[in-house]
Amino acid sequence: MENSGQADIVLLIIAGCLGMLILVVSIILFVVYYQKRVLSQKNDFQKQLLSATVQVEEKERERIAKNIHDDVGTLLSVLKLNMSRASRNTDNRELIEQINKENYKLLDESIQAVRGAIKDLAPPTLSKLGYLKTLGELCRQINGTDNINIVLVCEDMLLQLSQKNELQLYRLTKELLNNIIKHSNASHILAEFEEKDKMYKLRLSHNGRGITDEQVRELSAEQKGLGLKSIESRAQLIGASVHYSAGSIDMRPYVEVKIVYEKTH
Amino acid sequence: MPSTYRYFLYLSYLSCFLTGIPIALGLIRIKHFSVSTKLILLLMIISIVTEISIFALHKLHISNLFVARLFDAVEFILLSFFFERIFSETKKKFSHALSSVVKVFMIIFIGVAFFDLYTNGFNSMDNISLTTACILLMIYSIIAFFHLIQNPVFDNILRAPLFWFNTGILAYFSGNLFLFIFSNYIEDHFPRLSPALWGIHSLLNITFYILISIGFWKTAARQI
Repeated sequence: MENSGQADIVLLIIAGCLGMLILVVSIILFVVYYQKRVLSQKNDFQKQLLSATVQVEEKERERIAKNIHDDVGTLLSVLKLNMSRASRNTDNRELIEQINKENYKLLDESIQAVRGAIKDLAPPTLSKLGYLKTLGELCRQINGTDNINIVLVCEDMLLQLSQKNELQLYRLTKELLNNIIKHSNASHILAEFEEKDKMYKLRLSHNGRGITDEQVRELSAEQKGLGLKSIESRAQLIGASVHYSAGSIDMRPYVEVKIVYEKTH
Repeated sequence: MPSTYRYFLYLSYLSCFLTGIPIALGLIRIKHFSVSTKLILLLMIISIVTEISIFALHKLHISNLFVARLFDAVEFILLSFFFERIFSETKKKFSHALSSVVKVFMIIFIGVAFFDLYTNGFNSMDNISLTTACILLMIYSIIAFFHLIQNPVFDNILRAPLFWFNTGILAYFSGNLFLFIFSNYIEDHFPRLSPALWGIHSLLNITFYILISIGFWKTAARQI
């Protein structure tokens, strides 16, 4: 009887020990497998974001190169032709004066075209006057197109962001505005910028068709979401968050960018 | 002494001897250790001192259970501080909650330890407080694994020292849980079984020391 009691206790303890150890091994295998999966998903997402950013930048470069080729290239070619004509008709003063007038006009247009290309590459007002003034300049350009009206509401302030972050915030804002102009059928945009609780908040609300965070995630997952992935990538770079709302009866659709800043001394 | 029991005794000696490996590794790499890793090293040093004291007292035919009782309390407190440091690295909203969890667990353990002392006496196995410590430390370990998943520092989790420390702690305390629950019952009713079952404890000890050694080895120039 004592022996059977002994055996029972031994069996119970050994079974208990083995059972617990099997549980421990299962937990550890789960942890290892799960962490690999999470990291793999994170890596895939980062690769997608990087690829989207590179593709968008390449497209932008192509566009700028095309503009320079079509505008500046054409103008300089005509300028060259004019100079060649002038050199063949050095005795004809009237013709030379006419050609000079034309050449001044062509040079002016070339300078404007080059300035436009430079603005696209790196807006000069951004480094000199900051994000808000450059955003104001962008809004003026958009208003100049007559297709859409944009109103900017903000206090005059100097942002506590590094130049790099201001540039990324500007590009992010520009992409968001481009998306609204291209896809929402809006005729009016209200851009509000404010500082609150050590955070900057930019809200772009409009009277067009909005989009939700869920729809953005779905589009990003497909090939169509290149611009959206680029926005997400830029937001991550500067530690900002982007929130989309399709709006409701009482509220217009909007997209909101929030960025926490640190005061630099 | 039956020959089989001799093997369990040798296993105990081996377990004591193997404590030297993590200690040696730890002392060699101590300059790379964070505060939490140093707590584990301290635990190893206290372990070997305890093991030697227990053997010495056993040879002198003096009851050594009070040494084990003291060691168990110190072990739980050191590991609680270890896990508190780990949890303090989580996001703010969780670190406050987890820090409170550690404080509550320490209060629970102290309460249970006094109850155990009152129930079992100073010169008996503290199976109630040990069982409680096992369960609480298992909970700490599972939370720490969750923390590791949420805050991956390395591409491969097997390179993280915390993974190895945590695996050692979880394996040791969960493997010993049933042993500690029935330890006093076995001493009272089946004393002949005692060496065999403590042999299982020695095996789990050896596993624990090996895993801690791997953790120290992985620490090298990295912090947890």
